[in-house]
Amino acid sequence: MPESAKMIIVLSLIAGAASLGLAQINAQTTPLIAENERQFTLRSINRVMPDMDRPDPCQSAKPRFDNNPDQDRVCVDGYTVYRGRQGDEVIGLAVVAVGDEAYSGTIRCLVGINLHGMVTGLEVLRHAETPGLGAKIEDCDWRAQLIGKKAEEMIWKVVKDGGDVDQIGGATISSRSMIDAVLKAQRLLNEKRDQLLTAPAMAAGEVCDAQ
Amino acid sequence: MPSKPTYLGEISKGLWKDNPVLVLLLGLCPALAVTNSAYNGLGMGAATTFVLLGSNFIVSLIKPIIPKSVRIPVFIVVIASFVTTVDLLLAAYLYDLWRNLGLFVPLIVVNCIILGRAEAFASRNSVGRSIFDGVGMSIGFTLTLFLLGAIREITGSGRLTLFQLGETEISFALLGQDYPGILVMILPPGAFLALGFMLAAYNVIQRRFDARKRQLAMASAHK
Repeated sequence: MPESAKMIIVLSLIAGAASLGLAQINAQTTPLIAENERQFTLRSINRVMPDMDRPDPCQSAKPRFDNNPDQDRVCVDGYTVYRGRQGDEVIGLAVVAVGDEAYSGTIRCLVGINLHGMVTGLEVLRHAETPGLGAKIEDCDWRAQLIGKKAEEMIWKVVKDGGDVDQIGGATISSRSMIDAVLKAQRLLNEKRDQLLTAPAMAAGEVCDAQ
Repeated sequence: MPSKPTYLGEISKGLWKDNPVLVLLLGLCPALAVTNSAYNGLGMGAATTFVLLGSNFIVSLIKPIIPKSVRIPVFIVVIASFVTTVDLLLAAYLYDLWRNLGLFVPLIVVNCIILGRAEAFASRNSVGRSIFDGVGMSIGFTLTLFLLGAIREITGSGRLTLFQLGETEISFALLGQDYPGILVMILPPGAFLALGFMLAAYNVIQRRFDARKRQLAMASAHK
């Protein structure tokens, strides 16, 4: 057999065997990975809609809702919003909001807000801020000052800009971006309240554009 | 006296004499990029271990049938398959670690330790020897990454995290709660600084060791 034919046959056989093996593993792990992603989303939603009257992001709490909010998603104005319910009644929303351009890319947050407009929780889903500086947006102590407040209760700006929120030392831009995400969620609730509460849930796998 | 290399020798050379990071200076991209905490270093080491063992095993097994001219593509197919497997398994069973390591798991494909060992060792040695070489190199790589991560984490934030999965976390505030932290150690430049100090320490120790060996040899020659 000429050398070139052997080359082709050997490489094809090995590539074929590798594909077969990978297809098998992919089929095995796909449902597990999907479930992990779902659990991760649910865990974040739980944290932003806790069963507390004075929400504290540093404490773990049971969720306030009794449905599966990850299956009760709506898409309003390009925002993905999860609805938490008690029985049939919507009691709170978890809005996926992206804050203004921060120090390194944007910050993707999950903002919990109840129907009175009170912020019930704030979790960071994805960010690329500097570890030790901007990454402190993940510290629950810092986020606590934004939680449990209604829109009219304080000026939603950092102290440097004349507001009521203490910025993180050395990370004013990251702090501003977080506030911006909360403001976007508040604005959405103000302007699209009916649509948020009554729109039919999206089908599983459907994606909301823009975000 | 150079003796026939033993299996134990194959393992120990990866730990010290041919340590992949400190001596061969291979695989520096993951070594520098993910070691901002000890736990991440450990995770990266474990993922690389799996890939290196798998690829060394398969490459040494199929080496008789690989034509010389396509050996590199074959190695890459084998390595890429193992890397994809690790990526999928991590996402399925260690989701939080997978989120931390993120982009760096697929990059194991181009980690030169793995292709280097396939080309320089596994394609020339028996299956058994290749596995032991893989074990040694992996332990050396993992320990070095863990040490690098631990140095950076302790100096940078005063903490040492050994385990972290979802809400459970095992970590110690080694330098006290009030430690201000040296931020640069957690940032990319800290990786170069820490590695530089580790290389210097390695060389100092190695030189002392060599000097003592020379003295002993001289002493026995005078007898």
